[in-house]
Amino acid sequence: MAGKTFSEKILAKYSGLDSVEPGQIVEVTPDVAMSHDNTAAISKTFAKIGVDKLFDPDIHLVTLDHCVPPANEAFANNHKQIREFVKKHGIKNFYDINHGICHQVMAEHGHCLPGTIMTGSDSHSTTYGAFGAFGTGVTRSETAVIMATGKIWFRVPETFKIILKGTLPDGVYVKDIALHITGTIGADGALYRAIEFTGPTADRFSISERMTLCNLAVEMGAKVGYIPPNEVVFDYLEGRAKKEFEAVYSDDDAKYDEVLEFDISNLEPQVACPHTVDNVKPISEVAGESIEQVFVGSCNNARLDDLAILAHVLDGKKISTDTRLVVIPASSRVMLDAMRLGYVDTIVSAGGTLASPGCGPCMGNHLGVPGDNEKTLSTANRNFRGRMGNRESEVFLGSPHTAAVSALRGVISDPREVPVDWDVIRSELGQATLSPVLVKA
Amino acid sequence: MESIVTIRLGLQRVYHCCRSPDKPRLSMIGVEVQVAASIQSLPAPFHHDGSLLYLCQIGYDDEASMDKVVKGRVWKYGDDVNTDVIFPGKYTYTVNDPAEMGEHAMEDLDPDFATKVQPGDVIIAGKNFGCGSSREQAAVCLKVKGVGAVIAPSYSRIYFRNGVNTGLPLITSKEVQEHFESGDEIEIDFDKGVIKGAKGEWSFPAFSDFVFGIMDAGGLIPYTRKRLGIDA
Repeated sequence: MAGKTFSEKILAKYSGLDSVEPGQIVEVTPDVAMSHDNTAAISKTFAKIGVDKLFDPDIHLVTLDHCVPPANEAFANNHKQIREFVKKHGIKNFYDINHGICHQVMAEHGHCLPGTIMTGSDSHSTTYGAFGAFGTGVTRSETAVIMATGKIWFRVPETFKIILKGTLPDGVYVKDIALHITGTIGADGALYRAIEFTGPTADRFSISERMTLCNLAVEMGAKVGYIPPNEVVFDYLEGRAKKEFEAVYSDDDAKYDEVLEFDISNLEPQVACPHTVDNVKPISEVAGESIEQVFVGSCNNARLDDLAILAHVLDGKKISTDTRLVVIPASSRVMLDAMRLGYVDTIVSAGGTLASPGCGPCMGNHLGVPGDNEKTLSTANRNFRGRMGNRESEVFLGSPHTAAVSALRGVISDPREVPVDWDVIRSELGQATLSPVLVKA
Repeated sequence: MESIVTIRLGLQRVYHCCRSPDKPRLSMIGVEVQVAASIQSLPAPFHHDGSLLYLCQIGYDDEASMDKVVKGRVWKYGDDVNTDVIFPGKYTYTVNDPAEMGEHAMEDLDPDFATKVQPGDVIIAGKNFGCGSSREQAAVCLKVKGVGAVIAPSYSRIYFRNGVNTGLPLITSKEVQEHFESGDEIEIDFDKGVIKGAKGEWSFPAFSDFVFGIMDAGGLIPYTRKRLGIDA
């Protein structure tokens, strides 16, 4: 019998079948079903089903992050309903507004585990593949049905293997790799399929880098973005994992739908231009474009290493008077580590505006919605028209290093013009106690 | 005293009516009547049970099964229509009323859409329709506007799930795009699996039995209620 992929193996295991084939529909009970500020709407759908109790309150996890603290009474009442629902149904895994972005908080609190199935009523739930989980976004109604029945259906996906080789040049990051892949294969390049990111480069990625790459898998159309877990993941989970786990790996002779190899040794920094994530150009074609705002935040790039790069670029300097810099750490733990390491002092002294951990302006709710005809360079994961709350504005996506240098100049800039010392950054990150990045030696 | 009457036309669309034209936000379902198919000329006022009734809004019945035949005009769009332009993210946590969701449908792509779309109209789009966020409103806002179907070569996977779960038919076809322009008449017969237009007829593949079962029940929630034995 031919070997099986990660997705085929885990879906067979959870559906109680000996083996499954791509295209087959299976039903499983996830280990974790996440929902966030949409939990109020989900609770109303749950009420329509007509079941009194949750099938299993312990598989549900609720965070408040999409507009925290609430910007107005509508958001506040939404949060209030969620707190009441969580209390009524005994959902223990509840993270209120003081924690941060769902995906980051779940990682920090040890919910993301190898060999588990995790759903989220959030498209960026592909992030959990960074830990070797089958993580995928589902709809609001589906989380309501999981509440009632514990079950969700999946079509077994074909698998697309992407092999990453080579060493990242200075000033080039995993974000650039992810944007480059998205630009190459397109926003539907991996539609309905699971992506496995493998190869020596992927194997060396830190926790933070794994999360950035798997987070962006959905922008390639993927159902799942998975990196085979290694000692980086196991070290991170030591003393953190919420329960025991058993990693699942593809068989050596697994059948892949498509295999693509990228050598990233000569990759330039990349920028996704308005208004799609796959409209990707090398920095040399975009540099010089004036920008009124830089946003360093989101579940894609607002971890400690991202803030470290920003602080090292800005150290002792001032941002351009023509540009605003909005910085929103991914979580309160990231913010605390960044404060202790002096990054927050540096960023704010340079003219940055720091806001409380959460999603911020990423989907246009608050804390940095751009004005008409303004351009933003963002470290987030989407640049669709109107995404940041104003359809008359434009959003470019790039790495935190690109964002930092662009904030200094007031124009989109090549990050390699202001290099950072990675030996220093690496030793600083080693002192982080709350949101370790675990850069592999 | 206001009385509210729910009018079903066909199987899917529901018209909420009240006795006064200046109460457009009444949305509770009161009496349900089956109206003869001949009353197709809404929203003119009409008589029911001795009263003159006015159509006040197109409602949304999330427990109704699919229309078997859809007839209307085409709204044509390009590739990668994302959920942020179908239903802007800034409304996702504050707009909870389905009818109000409909008012923002396609807002950042085509500001005319929400005011001009008619029940039975069909969206024909390019590849990867509905990419981006998982927001369910991006399917619901089209369904409440009466969109009879979307036709595209491919859909983002979460959008496809949202379509199935809310009962918005998403037809996968690469053939028809070049034969239709915005405003053209179109008819879709789901039983026969046929799309008809001025330039010809095209067949499309049937939904899988599992997916059809959910859609035919009226979406995931009524499907689940039946499965749990709450509804017969």
